[in-house]
Amino acid sequence: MPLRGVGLQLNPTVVWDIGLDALDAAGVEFDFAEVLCDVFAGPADSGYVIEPANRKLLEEWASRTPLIAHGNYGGEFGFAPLEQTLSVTRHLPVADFIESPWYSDHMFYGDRAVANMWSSPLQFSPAEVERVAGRAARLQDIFGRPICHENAFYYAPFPGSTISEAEFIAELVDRSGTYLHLDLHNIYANARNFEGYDAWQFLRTIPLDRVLEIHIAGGEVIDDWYHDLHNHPVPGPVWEMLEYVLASAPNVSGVCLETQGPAHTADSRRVSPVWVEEIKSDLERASAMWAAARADKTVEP
Amino acid sequence: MIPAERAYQVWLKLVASEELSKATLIGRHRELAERYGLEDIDQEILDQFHAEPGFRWNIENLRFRSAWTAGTAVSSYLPRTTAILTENREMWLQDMMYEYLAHHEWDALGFELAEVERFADYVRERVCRRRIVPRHLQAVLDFELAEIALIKRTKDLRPGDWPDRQVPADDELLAADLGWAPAVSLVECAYDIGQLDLGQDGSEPIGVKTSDEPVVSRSPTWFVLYIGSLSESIRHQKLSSGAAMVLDGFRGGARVDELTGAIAAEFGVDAAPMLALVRTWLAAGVLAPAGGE
Repeated sequence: MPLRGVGLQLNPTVVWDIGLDALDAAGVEFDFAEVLCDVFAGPADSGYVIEPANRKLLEEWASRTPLIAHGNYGGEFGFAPLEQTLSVTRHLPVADFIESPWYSDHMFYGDRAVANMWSSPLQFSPAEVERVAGRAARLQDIFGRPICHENAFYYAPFPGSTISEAEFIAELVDRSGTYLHLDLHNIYANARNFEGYDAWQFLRTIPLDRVLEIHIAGGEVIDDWYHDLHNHPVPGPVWEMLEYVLASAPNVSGVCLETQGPAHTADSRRVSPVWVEEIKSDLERASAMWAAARADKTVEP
Repeated sequence: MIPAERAYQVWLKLVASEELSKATLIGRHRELAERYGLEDIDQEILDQFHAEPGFRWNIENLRFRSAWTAGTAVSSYLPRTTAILTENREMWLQDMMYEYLAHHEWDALGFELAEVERFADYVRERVCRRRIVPRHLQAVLDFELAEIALIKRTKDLRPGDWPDRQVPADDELLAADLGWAPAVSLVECAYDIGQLDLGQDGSEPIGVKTSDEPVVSRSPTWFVLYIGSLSESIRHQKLSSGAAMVLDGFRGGARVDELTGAIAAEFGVDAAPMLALVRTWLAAGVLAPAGGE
């Protein structure tokens, strides 16, 4: 897998408010950009596979930097037929359009209502490992490129969960032959919120050689809960985990910073110009760590 | 063992019912077992949801996010209507979407135009009944729903159905049999909404007045809506009554010289402007050879 380096997720709540030109002007640099397929997908009940109004934006971004496909509302692991999910009908064309080397999905249930997704992590159980692994393997065949599963930040484990999330993920990729999109901030956030959830035990349990992409981010405490809102600088423990994973995971192709304005709660921090320096600082630190860990390898142009 | 799909069905009940989710939050869900048809396993599932301190955020953030997602769809495909209803205030739209989804028991339709159409029904049946809206709002809404209907129609088109948009030389043009391309609509509006800044693809600023005074004339106005290809957004062109008549004449297919000649003779007008329109429409993908020839 080609090395990408350190990237930035082009989340619309940030890019629309701040703009790529402002990031450029501030000297913000990144080796690749992660695009949210849902933003560019056309309505499911139309012939628009890619929304034409946004197609030009995608073309503009593609002319500036390599793009990686990230699917939020693909519904891959829900209970509808896989071929009818948005992942296949809408995200695959976006991934093809931007020539993404891999596609990342999320360990959540999904359905037509899409927004249900972030509140329904997969049930971590042996039965679900088997069902989800089957879908994951078929999805990878359909996409014709590695499928990377992003570990979830969640507010509550799904009822009926009997094994740890890390065990579930390890078993899943072993059965399906798929890969991992390791979100370090999600692990950190879950460890803060759930007693007994050990971030380092998580990292020791999952197969690090299956990790192709890493997410880093910062969150926010609201009413005594630490939320994965991607709206603050990356915290210290996440940097420590990143250093460990970069040294231990031989196949990581990219580290991506996530930033996002309010999308889950009215109480979250608003996007403002000060975010530009925070983004720049986090990207520079990640790039330095990447360079140190990958000193003997070259980033793919 | 709790089957995952069963747990998910219970989760969907929680999403749909504010009463059940509130009861689960405070641990009184078992009191609603009979009303919601909850079997023992369902109650066990709710017990597990209740036991998690983060359950509150599952529901609360879901409501916010659902309204936000639906609002994005609505503002994308009913931009002029939502601009009129909310005066372009984002949180007003969020508020309205919250109530719209609650009205439908949080059964969101996702990334589909069906969600937008259902919201249009909500606007007509509820919003317009409870507050004073501009008199031209219905015309604007009908216009945007016509756009949505046309976009939906593209789902049934095959790659070969799209026009090649070639404009023949004049002698060939006159003898051509032309009809409407597959993604075309002719819309008649009761109000001249062309006096509003309609934008072309919904992404441009919409200039709307917020006063209750009539800001657009109550006079029939025609628009052609068209989609040239799947890589292009829907576009519209305001038409004079004469141009609308010409376009309508091609609806079922017509030979160019015969149609323009007949209109020219009946109304005592020159055919040249009509031919200019035909050329423009061919290039835009509004007209195409009739019968796919």
